[in-house]
Amino acid sequence: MSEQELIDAIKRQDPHAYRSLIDQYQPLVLNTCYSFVQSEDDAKDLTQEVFIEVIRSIKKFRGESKISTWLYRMAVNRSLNHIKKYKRRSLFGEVEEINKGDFTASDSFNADKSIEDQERSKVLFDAINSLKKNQRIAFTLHKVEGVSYAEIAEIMNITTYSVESLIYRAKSNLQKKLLSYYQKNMQ
Amino acid sequence: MNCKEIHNKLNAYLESSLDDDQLRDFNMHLDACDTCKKVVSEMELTMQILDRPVKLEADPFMHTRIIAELENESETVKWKFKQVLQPVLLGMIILVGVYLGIGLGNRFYDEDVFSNQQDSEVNLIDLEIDTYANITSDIETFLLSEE
Repeated sequence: MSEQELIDAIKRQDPHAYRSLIDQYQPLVLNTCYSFVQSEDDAKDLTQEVFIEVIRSIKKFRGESKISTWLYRMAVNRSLNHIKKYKRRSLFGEVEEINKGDFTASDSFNADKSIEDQERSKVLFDAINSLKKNQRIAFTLHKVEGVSYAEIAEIMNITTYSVESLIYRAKSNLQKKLLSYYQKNMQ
Repeated sequence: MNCKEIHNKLNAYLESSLDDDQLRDFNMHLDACDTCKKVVSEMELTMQILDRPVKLEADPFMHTRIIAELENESETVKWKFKQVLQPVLLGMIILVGVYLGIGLGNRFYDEDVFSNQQDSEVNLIDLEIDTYANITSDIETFLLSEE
């Protein structure tokens, strides 16, 4: 089934098309959400929300970009909103247990990973999350998800040159943040 | 190289873009400085996490969950629609009832009977006045005749 046929079938509310869409694009959406939120359960919930939104708003999809670009965009937006909501909630101390279990990379990395590795992952993703929004999106999509510069440009609606620049600045800022963290903690 | 230079060159070191001389100086400093060695090692290990990102397995129940959620949503919409529709319908039925009641009332309301009744009431009053006048004149006649 071509992409256009798939979209047309979803517009006709064909349940087989729903299954095809989910089977084909679940890894993309799930791993994109996961690369931002670093929690398997949250990534699954967000993936579900993204697909429901896609099915609901498929009539608005004009086919000017690839469906994967649209899905990336939705997954990124949902994930960033989720992080923002999470930060706001933890600011008011409502989800203390999440701090302990959910977000500290406990379920986000393999159980056999060493505690040091889990700590490093937390430090790394905290540093990534403290980057500016555009740098964070470009860096995460490229470095963690392996999305090409051209597709990131399309997802973010900017030029490829801007993507390159964003990723360069993100990398540089990330290393500065990590260096400052380790300098403090090594002394 | 001193510690500050090491920190400045760290990005280039992690990107493997130091030339041979710089790399030799860099490594020499690390051999002599434990703190820088630890920092550089931690930085390397941390950045390496990005080279092996964790990929999640697709959830086999995702499709079922989404379909269930969509069905649940349409049920909720129907229920909400019912919730709104029911009072509106009830209101409309009451309005129609009141309207029909007024209509039916007007239909059976006999204007002629009323006007006849009115006329007869007027006639009766006239009659009463006439009778009163007659009685008055009779009394007058009686009184005058006595005289």
